[in-house]
Amino acid sequence: MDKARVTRRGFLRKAAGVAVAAGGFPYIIPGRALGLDGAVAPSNRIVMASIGVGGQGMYDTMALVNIPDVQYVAVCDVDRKHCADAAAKVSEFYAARSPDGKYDGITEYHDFREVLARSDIDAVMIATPDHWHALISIAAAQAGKDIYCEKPLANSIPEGRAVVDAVRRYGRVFQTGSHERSRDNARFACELVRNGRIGKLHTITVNMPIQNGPIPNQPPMPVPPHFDYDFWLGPAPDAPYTEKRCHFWFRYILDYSGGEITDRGAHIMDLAQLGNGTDDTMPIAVRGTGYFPTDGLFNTAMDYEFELQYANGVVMRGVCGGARGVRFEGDKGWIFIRVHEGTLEADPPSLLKERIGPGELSLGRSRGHHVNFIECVKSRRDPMAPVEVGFHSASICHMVNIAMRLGKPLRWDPVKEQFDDPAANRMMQPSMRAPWRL
Amino acid sequence: MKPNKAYLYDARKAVFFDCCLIVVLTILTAAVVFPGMASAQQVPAFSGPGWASDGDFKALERYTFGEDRSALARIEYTVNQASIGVSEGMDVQTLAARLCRVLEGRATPDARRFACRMLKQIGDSRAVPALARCLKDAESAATALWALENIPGEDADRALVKALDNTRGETRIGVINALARRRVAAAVAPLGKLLRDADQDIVRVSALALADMDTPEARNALAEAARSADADKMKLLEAALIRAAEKSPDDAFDSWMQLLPDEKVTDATRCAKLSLMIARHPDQALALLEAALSGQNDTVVQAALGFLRARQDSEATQLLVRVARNADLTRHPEFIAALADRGAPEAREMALGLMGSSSADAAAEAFRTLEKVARLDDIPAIAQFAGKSDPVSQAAFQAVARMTMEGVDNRLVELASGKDGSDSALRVTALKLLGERQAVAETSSVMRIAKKADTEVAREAVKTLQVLARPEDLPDLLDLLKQYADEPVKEDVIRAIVFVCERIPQPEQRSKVLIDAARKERKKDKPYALALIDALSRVGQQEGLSFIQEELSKKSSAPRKTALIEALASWPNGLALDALRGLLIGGGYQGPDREKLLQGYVRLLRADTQEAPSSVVARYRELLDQVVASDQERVMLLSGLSQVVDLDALDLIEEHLNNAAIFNEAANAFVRAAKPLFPADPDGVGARLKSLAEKNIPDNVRNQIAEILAIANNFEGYICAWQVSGPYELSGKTADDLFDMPFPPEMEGVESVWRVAPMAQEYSRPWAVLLDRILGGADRVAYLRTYVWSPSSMDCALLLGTNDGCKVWCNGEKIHEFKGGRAFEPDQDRVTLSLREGWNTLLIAVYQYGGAWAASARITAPDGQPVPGLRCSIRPE
Repeated sequence: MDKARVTRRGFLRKAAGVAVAAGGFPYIIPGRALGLDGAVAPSNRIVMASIGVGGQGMYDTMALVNIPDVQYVAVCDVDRKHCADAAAKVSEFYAARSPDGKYDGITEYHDFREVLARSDIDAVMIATPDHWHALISIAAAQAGKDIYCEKPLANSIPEGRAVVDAVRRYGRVFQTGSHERSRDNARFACELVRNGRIGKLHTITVNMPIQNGPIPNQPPMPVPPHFDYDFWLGPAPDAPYTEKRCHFWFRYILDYSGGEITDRGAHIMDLAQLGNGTDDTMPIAVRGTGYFPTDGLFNTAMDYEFELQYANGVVMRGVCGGARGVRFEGDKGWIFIRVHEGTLEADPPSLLKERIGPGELSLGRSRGHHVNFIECVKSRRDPMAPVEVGFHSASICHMVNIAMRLGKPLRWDPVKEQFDDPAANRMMQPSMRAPWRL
Repeated sequence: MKPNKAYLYDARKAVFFDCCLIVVLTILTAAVVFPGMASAQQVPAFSGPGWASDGDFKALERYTFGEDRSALARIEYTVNQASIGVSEGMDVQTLAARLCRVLEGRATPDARRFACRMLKQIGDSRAVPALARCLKDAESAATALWALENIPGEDADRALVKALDNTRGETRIGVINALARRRVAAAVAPLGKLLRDADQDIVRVSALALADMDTPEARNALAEAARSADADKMKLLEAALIRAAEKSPDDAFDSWMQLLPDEKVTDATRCAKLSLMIARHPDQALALLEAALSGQNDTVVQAALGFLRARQDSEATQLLVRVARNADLTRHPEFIAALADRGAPEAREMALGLMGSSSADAAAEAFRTLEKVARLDDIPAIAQFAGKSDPVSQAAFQAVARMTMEGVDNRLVELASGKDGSDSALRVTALKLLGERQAVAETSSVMRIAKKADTEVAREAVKTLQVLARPEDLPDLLDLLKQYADEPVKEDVIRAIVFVCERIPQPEQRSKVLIDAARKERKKDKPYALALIDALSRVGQQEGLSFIQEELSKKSSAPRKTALIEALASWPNGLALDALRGLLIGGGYQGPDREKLLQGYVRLLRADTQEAPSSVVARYRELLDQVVASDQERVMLLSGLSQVVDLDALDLIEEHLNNAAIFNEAANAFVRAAKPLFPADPDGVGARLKSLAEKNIPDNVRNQIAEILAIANNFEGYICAWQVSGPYELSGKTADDLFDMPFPPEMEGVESVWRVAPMAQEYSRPWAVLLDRILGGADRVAYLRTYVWSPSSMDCALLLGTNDGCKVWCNGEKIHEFKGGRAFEPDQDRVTLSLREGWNTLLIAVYQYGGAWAASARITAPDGQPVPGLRCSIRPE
């Protein structure tokens, strides 16, 4: 279904109407759309939609579509090309499994609120740019949807806190997209650390090399007709359109993201949290220095070194280089997890042949991050990366960025969720363009 | 460009005096914040863009997005430093005043927005008038609001309250949101009035603002609106009412809940109500949960279960048992999972009862539960369900595979051995589970089963051994091979032996046990002896190859000789290339033996990428000249040759265009070979393709030629004639490490292997050398080389793009380098290139840090125009 272009203000007004009409929405799932392969009865399927279907969004969408317990009915993107491509790909998947080789059960949307207003949708996958994560997650929780949201969980610490509160208040299942956490090898390595196999953990090193560098200032360009740029900006400040501001590249602009620190950092530091046993808290101090380019479009840190101090005495050091991953160092050895590959290195190497005994701490295993989410939607368990975990990991990334931008060591109160420095607290506050608000 | 740290340290020297104060302060503060880290390595500082001057503020006033923003960078840096108390010349007040002047003057919209952003960080009440005026300006109102909402003090409060009346549309909504953030008491009354506004957006945000105010007056205003709200109006208010309920005093909470009757609110709001009521009335929590869990609203049931999971007490467990016993578990199998997570024994009994449920979802959840709560005695019953491939069977299989209790492997061995009367299907499932669990300690038991069982079970046992067996089990596996040498199980045993041999860490030891066994069987041509030869070839080590060559040189029976030839012909790697060649050229083999040897040789030539392309072409030429016996074989060789990306291969194929009997096939091979080479030599290869097109060739070949020639339209002046050498890498070294190490292509007098860089698949940019597609990998370097012919000595511009780092040499002299990772952009570096008359060598090292890996280059005159007479080639004439 192709919706006419509507302004942001129009969207807000329209959504109110949609919400009112939600009970009578004519979204009846065609019978042939359900139970296509007969493996899972239609009534047992989790009905899903994706919000944000660019590169990562399509990856997540297809991972979910491939789970027999999932039935997709909608995709949503402010880029109509992305939306149409996604709808075609998902439809193609179902059509290939349909007796008549056809499928027309995917509706296209360009406003996430219309997706959330559908009462037949159980869960949503959110893979928008970071500056939208919190707003859509909160709205989804308030609409009673379970949520798989890409990392980093939010674009600022207060936004993350608001997501946690909404998810818990509305009793929803939330999986942060930090899928490295679901790798068996990573969990095994963290079990070795947590069970003292490397002795007392004292240092964690996170290697976060950057692949992309700064680019020159870019000229303003006409907005492509298929792209609702104003909605893409959403709560972010007005800025002229230029191609490299949007889609993949948003992650290198501070208005929308936090660069490599929040991008892959939300994977790597997330594993550091798991291995350190600090999923439920955050470090107490941070300092660092970063090279933030000032003469081009990208302005996130392109080189950095930082340190975080935990209350348990462990120090986490981060550098822009080395093999991408996290290294846990104890007084009897070390373990390195190569992030994205999931391979392990250790000293002594025999550590990797050890087994976790029945009496030791086990972190459990996941049958895949997306599958784990669907299982938890059904069982109402907390998944591998529940909302608090995603919040703490993303917040550590934001702490690092703030300390580097201010160029000043900072203390952090993990309970009050405040810095000891007024300038840092002021910088931490998200600013949102009306009508958007937390 | 991303500066490397060495560069940054140098840069810091230049601004040392400016920054020394910052460094001292940073170190002093660090010592306080990181008291236990005094000996830790100091984090080095990166240099900033420098302090702002008056001229920068002038420049700011004229700034438009997309222009040079160095003045803005300095202002941003100065503001940032001032916000933490570090300044040089301009303190916070001065800076704020200068920024306000930008707002008050005739600055561009982009400049005004920038000034507002800066005031967000350092503005105080003196900035309020200028910012408040911006609220009337649609282009800067949003950023002015950001600043206003962050400025402490009542001046900003008053300005925002006043703006409620003076603004419209989204700015007004932004004002309401800012008042909420600041919790301005004076705004409560006007916001209360706005709850009756005709604009739904205004009603919604005003309600949320009042909820955030958290004052009795604000709550009263909200409550009054809620009492008179119909269902439509309630949709606009319910999120605010929930938010206000969280903050309401205990004595007002229950009456507040009555403002949200179930029939008027969404299911999600009902869930939120439940969570709030549990929090406020802990003494009633169990009753509330039991009522919710026993209800018919699935959304509420699911949320209630989540809330219950947060409680660890035994009363909650008992409640869950009660609810689960009365519930339709096929509809709510999540109850069992929750019971299992709490260690309730009832979970096992309920899960066992659900195993055969008609609901696949319930059955799968039951198995997932049993993974945690089953007893050893339950394993046969669960395994009965685990033998198929549907999702429920997979859940059953995974349940047993992941069980962590003691004794599971033993129980599975009992099942697999059939002692308790298990049927074949169950025995097979048990064996699969032992493999999945990697039950190495049970290897000998599985070996016994493999030796004694019927064929179906024996085959599965051997497959399990492929996973479990270790080098010390090789003798037993050889016994199995002897036992099954003429039965279908043989193939599985050979695979098991090969897998185990590959687990031997020292490559030279991998074939030893097999060679010893084969020597003992040397005089025999029994199936066991022949199977040993087969296994030796699959292990693919030099020692095994020598043994087979030695055996071939001796007299042996026909079946044995055939087995030896087949072993050589199916050798898995290039080690056998020379052995095969020797037999083909001078071995005197004829008939089927010769055919097998030739097919094996060509297969390896196609697969083995270690040799230089020119050497591979030489091997093909030798075959074509001395070995082939038929046109059919010739066509096979030309097909293989067309995959070698080298001009010599093209020459050799072209020679066979004269053979009328295979003309079409040769033409096809020629075009396939020409395609990746075309950009490297468009004139030469193009002329040969055009010449071929004039002959009587099939239409599809003619179309391919046209397609290739059209690529020339996309060269866009870039260099396409590249040879590539590498990749070069060193174990444990990152691309950063490699950057400082020399490799053969840049070392004088050291030979390197070069091959033509094939054209990218991306026809629209054939000039982009996509090394990630050609070579792949991470932490490595490859070299690109081309020869540039210049009609005279001259200085040109080399426009270069690389992902990631690069070094460039012209005629052996290094002229440029970039260290670090970056995205690929054509022409991102501009380097002066001094060419001498005649041929010049241009060499580029491209470093791969990870992800994409690509390069492009073009040469222009210094003014960007093409250079007449300049041309590039992969081989100087």
